[in-house]
Amino acid sequence: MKRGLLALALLPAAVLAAEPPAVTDGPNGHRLVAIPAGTYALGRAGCATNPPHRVELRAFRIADAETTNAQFAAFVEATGYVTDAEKRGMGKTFHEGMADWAWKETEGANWRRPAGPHEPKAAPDHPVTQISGEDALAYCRWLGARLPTCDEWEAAARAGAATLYPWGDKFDPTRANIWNGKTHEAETREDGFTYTAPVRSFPANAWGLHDVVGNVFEYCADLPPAYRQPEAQAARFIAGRGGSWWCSVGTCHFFNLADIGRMDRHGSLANQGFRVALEAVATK
Amino acid sequence: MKTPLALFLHATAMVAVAASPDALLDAALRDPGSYNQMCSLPPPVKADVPLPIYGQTVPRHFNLSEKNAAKLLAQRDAVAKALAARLEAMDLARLPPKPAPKESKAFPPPATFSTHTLSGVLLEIVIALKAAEALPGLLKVEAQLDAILAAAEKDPSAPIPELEVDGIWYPSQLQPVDYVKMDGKYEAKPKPDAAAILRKQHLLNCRVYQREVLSVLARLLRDAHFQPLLDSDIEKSYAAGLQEAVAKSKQLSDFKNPGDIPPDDRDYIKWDPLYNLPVAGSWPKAELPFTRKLRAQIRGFAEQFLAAKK
Repeated sequence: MKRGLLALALLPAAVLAAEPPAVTDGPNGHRLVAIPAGTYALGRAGCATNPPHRVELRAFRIADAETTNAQFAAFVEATGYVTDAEKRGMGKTFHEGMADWAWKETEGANWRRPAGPHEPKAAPDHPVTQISGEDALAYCRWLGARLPTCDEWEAAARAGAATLYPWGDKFDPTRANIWNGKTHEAETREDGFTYTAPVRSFPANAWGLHDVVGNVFEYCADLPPAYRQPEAQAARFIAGRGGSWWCSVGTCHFFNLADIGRMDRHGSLANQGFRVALEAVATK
Repeated sequence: MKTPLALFLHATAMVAVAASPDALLDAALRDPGSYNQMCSLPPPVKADVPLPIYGQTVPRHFNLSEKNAAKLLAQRDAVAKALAARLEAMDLARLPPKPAPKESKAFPPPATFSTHTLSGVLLEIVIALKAAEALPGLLKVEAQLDAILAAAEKDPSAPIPELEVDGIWYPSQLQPVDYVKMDGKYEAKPKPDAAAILRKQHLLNCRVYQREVLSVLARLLRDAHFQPLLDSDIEKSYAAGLQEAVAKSKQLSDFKNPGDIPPDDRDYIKWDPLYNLPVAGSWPKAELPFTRKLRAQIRGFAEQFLAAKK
């Protein structure tokens, strides 16, 4: 009996809530999901970067979708911001048919034309890519927002689930935008997309967040402990979660709720994006 | 306001500074220009660190971009000379101080390591330039690493330099701190044996660099078509590993000549003219257990090559 009570006490608070969290309109067209305060069971057994752990989180709000090109364009228009890829003069790109793990240094690839200067313009309703972690942080500062921490991201992405994916432990190619196909030579498009998909193209998790698995890797504010040593290295990296349209069974298998990737905080690729978080609205 | 002459002199001075081989090297080492997304952890490095044949032990986060490589190659001889001098002057027992670690919004970000010590990018530059001029310096640095490792085995208080391997990932037993969640943030709490753990980390890094320097020595000799190396078991192991890698990959096995590689893949897939086979990525195709004999063999080849050049 005691064991049963303890297990109940450790369940994420929102699992016990009868209703899904409230969704409200936020700045710059973001729709924000209110994540309740509580103790969350996160991580996964056997996951080197994210072992099982419990955390107390304060209430916060998080965007229901990845930040779009239209939203990022509003920021650039308002501030004249120049991204790291624009300063560097290149971003890393990938085209169907390239080898597994191959990424190309493409001059002129940036958030406006993420696949390169001779490729189509970024579609307004797709997630913004070719932005570095520092660019994502600059957007957040402008918005009065921040990046979620790794734990906040996971608590919201899990929506109470203890499984590898929001819908269970078995991957379902119709529920997330990843790379389908044995190799990157050809996309078999079980999910309907080769590169990024418009945000909210796939079913939301139980709390209303879309694309927590796949579409774009999402930057988080902090590095997990496994990546923090040595300190000098840690200062150069930022964490990424959820995997992306490029991830495949045969290469990067991080398209799930547990694994945590790390990247150069000034690096820009065509599969890296972010979603914003804000503090909870104070209640009277 | 500057006069046209002052502007001209200023511009000339800027070109001169930018063209200095040492300045070019420093710039490429501080901001190598390319980067990797590490969405899959590299496999843990074995404690005895095998020799990666013609490749790296650990994939790096930061790499030399094609643009930076082209800049260096444009002044290949001068840069190779500067690189050789830098390696020959390198004293791993007296490393220059590291800049303080800090997060930065600036671009390019400030360096978190000295440009006058070993780094993955420095070794990439040696390979990109096919800088056989660097052989004496590499031999000297490898001897220093070997002496450091030998001294550390005998004396647990012998000093070990803090070399940085930017792609390495340390499992929890090699992390000197525990992270404890406090007030919503992870606070680092040093483990009781933190100093001993850090020492193990630094030793592992020295081993990684020793093997990689030996690997670069062998690679330079291969690039120079040094026959004793091409006839050796090192080359045979590499050939077997390469053939196996190609046989396993449908995509690679479809490439019968360099022209078959799609243009977009040519940064990543190179062509090995000795075997007429494609080589994907910078991962080693084979490795050999590190032994004193293997070390002596590679050093012997390098010394033989240098003696023949005299």
